[in-house]
Amino acid sequence: MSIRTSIEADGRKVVIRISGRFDFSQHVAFREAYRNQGASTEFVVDLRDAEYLDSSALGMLLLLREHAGGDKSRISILGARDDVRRVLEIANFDRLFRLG
Amino acid sequence: MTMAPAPSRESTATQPVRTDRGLALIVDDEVANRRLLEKLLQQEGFGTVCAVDGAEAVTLFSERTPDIVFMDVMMPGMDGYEATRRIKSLSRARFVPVIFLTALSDSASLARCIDAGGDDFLSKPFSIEIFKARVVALERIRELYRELAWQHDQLSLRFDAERRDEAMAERVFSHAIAARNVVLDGVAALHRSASSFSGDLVLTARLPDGGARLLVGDFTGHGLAAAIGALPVTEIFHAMSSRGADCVSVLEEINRKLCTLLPPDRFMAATLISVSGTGSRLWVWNGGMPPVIIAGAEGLHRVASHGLPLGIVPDGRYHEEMQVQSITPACRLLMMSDGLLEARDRAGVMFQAAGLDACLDRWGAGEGMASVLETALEAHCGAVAPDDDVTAVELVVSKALLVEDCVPDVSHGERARVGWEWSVSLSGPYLVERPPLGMMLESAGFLNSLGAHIGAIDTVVAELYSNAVEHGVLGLASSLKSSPDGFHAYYEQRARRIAAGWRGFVRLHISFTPLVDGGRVRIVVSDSGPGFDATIVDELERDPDPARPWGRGLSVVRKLCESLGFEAPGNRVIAVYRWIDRVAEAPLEST
Repeated sequence: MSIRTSIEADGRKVVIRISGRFDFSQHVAFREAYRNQGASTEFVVDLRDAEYLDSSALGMLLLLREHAGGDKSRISILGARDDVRRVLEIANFDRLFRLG
Repeated sequence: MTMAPAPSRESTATQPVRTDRGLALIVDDEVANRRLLEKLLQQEGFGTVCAVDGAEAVTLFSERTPDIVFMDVMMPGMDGYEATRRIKSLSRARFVPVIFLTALSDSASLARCIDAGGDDFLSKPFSIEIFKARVVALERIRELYRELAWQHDQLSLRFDAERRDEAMAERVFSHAIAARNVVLDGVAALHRSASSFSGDLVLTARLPDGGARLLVGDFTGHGLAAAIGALPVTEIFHAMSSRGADCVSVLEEINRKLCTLLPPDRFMAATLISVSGTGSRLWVWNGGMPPVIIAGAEGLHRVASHGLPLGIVPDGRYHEEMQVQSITPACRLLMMSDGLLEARDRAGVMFQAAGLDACLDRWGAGEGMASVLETALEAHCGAVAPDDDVTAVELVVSKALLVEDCVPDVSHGERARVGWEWSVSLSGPYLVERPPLGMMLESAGFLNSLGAHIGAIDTVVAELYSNAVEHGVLGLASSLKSSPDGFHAYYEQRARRIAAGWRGFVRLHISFTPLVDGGRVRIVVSDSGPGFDATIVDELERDPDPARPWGRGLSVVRKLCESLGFEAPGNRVIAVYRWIDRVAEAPLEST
C-alpha cells in the first residue's frame, strides 16, 4: 500500500499513483500528494495498482476536487480495475471527475 | 544518615549534581556494602532506602515505591532471586529496574539473575564508572517504559471516550431517528450492526394520500460523524413527507442541508422510494447505493444507482433522475446497503460472491426477505461481526401498506399537490416591518408548492398589505401622492403616525389549492381600520393615467390575479391568483 507522486509537464501536471487498498489509512499521504500544488495544476489519479477503494477514498477524491477548484476537467482518474471502477460508477463520480 | 545528597567530589564542575533521580532501594546484608552504595547513589542524585534481606526489601518496595533497586544475591532468609521475583510481580504495571550486584561471577548464577526478573547484573568488584553508566542505561529504559505506559493510558482513555461517543451515536439513532419512523405493514427490515457504529439509516413515512415513503441511507464515516448528518436528514424527511412534499423536493432539501453541514469528504448514499396511495405508481431514486430490486409481474427489475450521493454538489438533478413507473398490486421491492454485499465470512469472502444472487432469485420467486436473506446471511457470516452496517429493507405493496380514503391524486414525484391554509396577524413593530412572504412560508414548509409563482404572489401580497397598513390602519390618503411634494408629505405623515404610536393589526390569510393543471392561491388581507368606499377604486381603474404616480398598486394586483374584490365596509380584500403549468407532467404518462 503506497502513494507515489510524480510531477510532469513542468509542474503543471501531478500524477498520484495509488497501490494496494485505497482507504482511510492513505489519507495523510494522499493529501500530501496535492496540498502544495496550485489549484491550476492538472491532477491524474492513477488507480491501476489500486485493489480496493472505499467510501473514505471517495471522500478523499472529493477533497482533491475541492482543492482543484471543483473543476471536472482538471482531475482525471485513470486505470481503475473492475472492482474499483464499480465503486466509482455506483457513486456516479463520472460527473465529478474524468474517468478514463 | 542524611537523605540529602552530599556534594559530589567525583563530579566535575561542568556536570552539576542531579538531585531528581528518584528513590533507590539498596538491598544488602552487609552494612559496609550498603554504606558505600548509599553514599555513591546520594552523590549521584538519588534518595536512598536500605533493606538488610529479601523480606525487608519486598516490604520496603511496597511501602516506599522506589524507582530503582540494587539487589545482592546471597542473603540470610529470603535471597535476592526470590525477592526480585516478588518485587517484579508487585510492580507489573510499572517498570522498576532491578540490578543485581553480586560477588558471584559464574555464568549460571548470572543467568539466574535475569531468570528471576533482574534487568542487569554487575559482578563485584566493579568500576564506579561502569556502575554509573549501567544505571543511566537502565534509567533510560525505565523512562521509555513510562512513556509507553503513559501513551497506553492516553489511548485507553481515548478508546473509552470513543466507545462512549459510539454508544451516544447509537442512542441518537435508536431514539431520535428510529422512533420517528412509522410502522408500515408490508415493510420488513434486516439490520446487523457493525462492531463500530457505521450509520446506516432507514426512514419510513406515511404520505397524506395514504401512500408510503422509504429512505435507506448510508453515511460515509463512523460513529458520531455519521449520526450528526442523520439527524437533519430525519427531520427533513418526516416534516416534508407528512405534508405531502414530493420526492424531488425532499431530496433537494436533504442535499442542500448536507452540503452546508458536512465537510466535503462526507456524504450520504441513499435510495428513496415512494408508493402512491392508489398503489399503482412508484417513484424510485438511487444515488450511490446498490440496485433497488423490484419484483413485479414481469420478473425482477433493477434500478441501479443513477444519481450522485447526497451532500456532494449543491445542484442536484433529481427531477430528471427520478424514475416513475406503474406497478401492479403485490409488487415487491428490496433496498440494501453495500454492507450486505460486502459482508465477509470467516475466510474473507463477500456475501455478493457467495450466495446473494441465489437469495435474490428465491426472493424474486416469492419467498420473504426474512426467510431467505436473514438465514443465508447468518450462515455466511456466522460469528463474524460485519465491518460495515448491513441493512436490507423489503417493501410489499398491498392494501395493508396503503391507507384508503385519503386525499386522492397526490403526486409524489412532481411538485406537491396538497392544499394548505396559512394565516398570520401582524401588529406592533411587525406591522410595518413585515417579514418577506417567502421567508414566512418557507419556515412553515409551504414555499415549494408555489414554485416560481412566489415572486408574483409576493407582489400581490405586498401591494394589498401596504394598502391595509397605510390606508386602513394609519388612515393615510393615497391621493396625497398626486404631486412630488405630496409624495414626500405622504411618507412624512406615514412616519409621523407610526412614531406617534398607533394601534391596529393586519391579518393575512393565504390558502393554496392544487389543481390538475396548476394551482390556485387565495389571498385575504383584512385590517383593523374603518374601511373605505371601494367604488373609488373602480373609478381610478376606469381612468388609467399612466403618468399618475399613485393609485397603481391595485391595477398591478388586478393584472396578476384572476379576481380581486373588496368586502364591505372595505377593510377586507380578496385576491385570487391562478396559474397553469405549461408542461404536462410527462413522467406521469410513461409506464
